Formats: sequence, C-alpha cells, structure tokens
Amino acid sequence: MSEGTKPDAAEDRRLVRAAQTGDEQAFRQLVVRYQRRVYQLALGMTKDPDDAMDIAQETFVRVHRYLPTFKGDSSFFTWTYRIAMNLSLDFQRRKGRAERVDQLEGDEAEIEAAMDPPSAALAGPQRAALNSELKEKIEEALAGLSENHRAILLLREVEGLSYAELAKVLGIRKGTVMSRLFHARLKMQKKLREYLGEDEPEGEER
Amino acid sequence: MKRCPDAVPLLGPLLDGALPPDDSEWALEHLRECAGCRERQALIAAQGAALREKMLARGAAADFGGFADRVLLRAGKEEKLRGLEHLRVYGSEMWGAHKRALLAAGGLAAAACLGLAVFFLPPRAAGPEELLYADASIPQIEEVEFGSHDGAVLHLRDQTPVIWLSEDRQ
Repeated sequence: MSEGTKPDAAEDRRLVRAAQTGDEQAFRQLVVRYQRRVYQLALGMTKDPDDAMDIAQETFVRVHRYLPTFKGDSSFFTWTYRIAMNLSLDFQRRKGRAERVDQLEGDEAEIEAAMDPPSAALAGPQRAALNSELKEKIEEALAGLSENHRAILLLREVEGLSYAELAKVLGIRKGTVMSRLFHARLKMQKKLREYLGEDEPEGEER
Repeated sequence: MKRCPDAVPLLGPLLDGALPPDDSEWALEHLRECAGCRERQALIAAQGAALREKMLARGAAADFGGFADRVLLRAGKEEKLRGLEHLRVYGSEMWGAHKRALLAAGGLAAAACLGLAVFFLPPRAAGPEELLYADASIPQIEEVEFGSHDGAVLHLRDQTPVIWLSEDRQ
C-alpha cells in the first residue's frame, strides 16, 4: 500500500511482525503508510500544523516503544489512531483548550432541531453553488465542536472507520458511537448554518 | 409510512452502511416517500464530503521529508534513556524493598574489607622519630636544639636520658 490509500490489514500484520523482531525497515514502512493519516487526525483535533506534526511524531515514537507488546487483538491502524487520539486530547488539555463538557447526547431539543428541513443554502439546487463556501467554513465549524464530536467526525468522515473501529479507537460502545455521531453531525450542521448566515427555517414534520 | 422523527437518526447510519437489514429497508422506504429526509441525508453526505476533502487537502500539503528518520532517531534515543531509567527504578525499588538487608550486607562487606586490609597491607614505613623509638633497647643519641644552645640527648633503656648542652651561642 502506498501512503494515503486504504490500509491493507494483511500487509500491516506482516510489517508489524517484522518490526517486532527489530526490523527497522519494516517499522519505517509502517510510519510511511500512516504518517499522513495520523497527521490529518491530529491537525483536525489541534488545528495547528506544527502541533499536529509534533503529535504525529510522538505517536510513532510511542508505537515504536509499545510495538513489542502489541498482540494484534485490534488492527494496527486502530491501535495507532487510538494512540494519536489520546495524545491529541492530552495535548489539548495541557494547552487548556479542552471543552470537557459535552451536552447530553440524548437532548430532545437536538432531535427537534433535526426536524427542521434543510435550508435552501445547505441543500437543494443551490447547494452546488455553495459547495466552495461550505468547504471554506467546514474547518471553522469543526473547530467549534467539542473534542468528542470533532474526534468522531474526523475518524468517520475523513478516515472512514467503521462503527466497530470507532468504538475501539474511542473506547466507547457501539451504541454510543451511533448516538455521538448523530449529534456531532447535527452540531456541525448547526454551526454551518451559523457561519453561512442561515436562519433556522420553519419546522416540517411528517 | 415511518415518521420523520423516527427516521432522522437512521439517516447517517444508513449512509455509513451501519444499519441492520430490517432498519435499512425501513429507512429506505421512508426516503422514497419523504423529500425532506432525502435532503437531510444529502446534507449529511455533503458536509462529510466537504470535511473529507478539506482535511485530505491539508494533509496532502504537509511535508513528510525525513519524518520517519526523525521518528527512528528519537525512538533510539528514548530507548537508551529508558535503559538507564530502568536501572534507576530497579535500584530504587530494590533499596526500598530490601533496605535492611542491603545495609547489613554493606556493613559486612566494609568490615571484611577492613579485615583484609589489616591482614594484607604492608606496614607503613616509619618516620625518623618513630625510628628513634623503634627499638628502645639500643642506646640512641638524638640531636636537639634548645634555642640558645645546641645539644644532644642520650636515650638509654630504663634509665633517665642524658642531656648534653653546647656552650652558650652568645
């Protein structure tokens, strides 16, 4: 696999086994396979390219340190993402940027808000014209979310992790994955509406 | 038909392919008949795609030249430091756990060393004054200086020393 393409679990296992026996070249290949993905994840969490690069480097140093104890119960990339995610969260907390308090995820008001039909700007025929603006604002909207919501959106939408993989990386149950992802997407939608100067439309329910 | 409030939470998982077949069929049936939910689902897909595109572009712009080398260099340094740290921790834990035994062993070792030293080290060479008294059975003469006079002392075994004085230097 080259850098950035879909992980090949069998090749990962082969490289991990070789790296565990001290094969430096195999470890180097693992780094190259995942360096950009880990960086993207850290960048989404910290918003700062230099901090993200530091976190990516620290992630692989830890991978190197703990690789001899890696049993392969989970896939190498979920294990690596979990290290990267924990480091990103620790980093945020050290810098005092953490938003520790998440709103309750069963908030009825959010479900109600989800009943609002999509606005003309975010959906419908004008969506294509607004795509570039949406892309500009998406990072800003992401930054406005809590760390838990940011993490799950990045891992799902950017890294394409399955719900089972999300549960492993984030250390939560699969049911919580579904609920957290639902609320993260709603919050993102709400932020985008704010940034795009959208008014909340009238509700519609069937 | 399924109501929107029941269908909305399923729209994301349906896109993600994470719904069981029954729920999936149910949600699809609702989508066929509900334009609002089709738009809602399209929005979930659009914001996901926008996020993916943005983050992949930012990731692609990063320079990873020498990144793996830097990781390996740091990992190597930390491995050495960890070796020293293990020794420190091991020593500290051993001391904490066996303090009395270690002190006793240390005391015994010191005593043994002293004993060996006394037994094996040759006696230190004696200085001139020590030589004088080394064998008191032999009469010895010691030259002395009494300030205003030069003199000598004859040391005899078990007898009072005999002192000679020169004439006054004045």
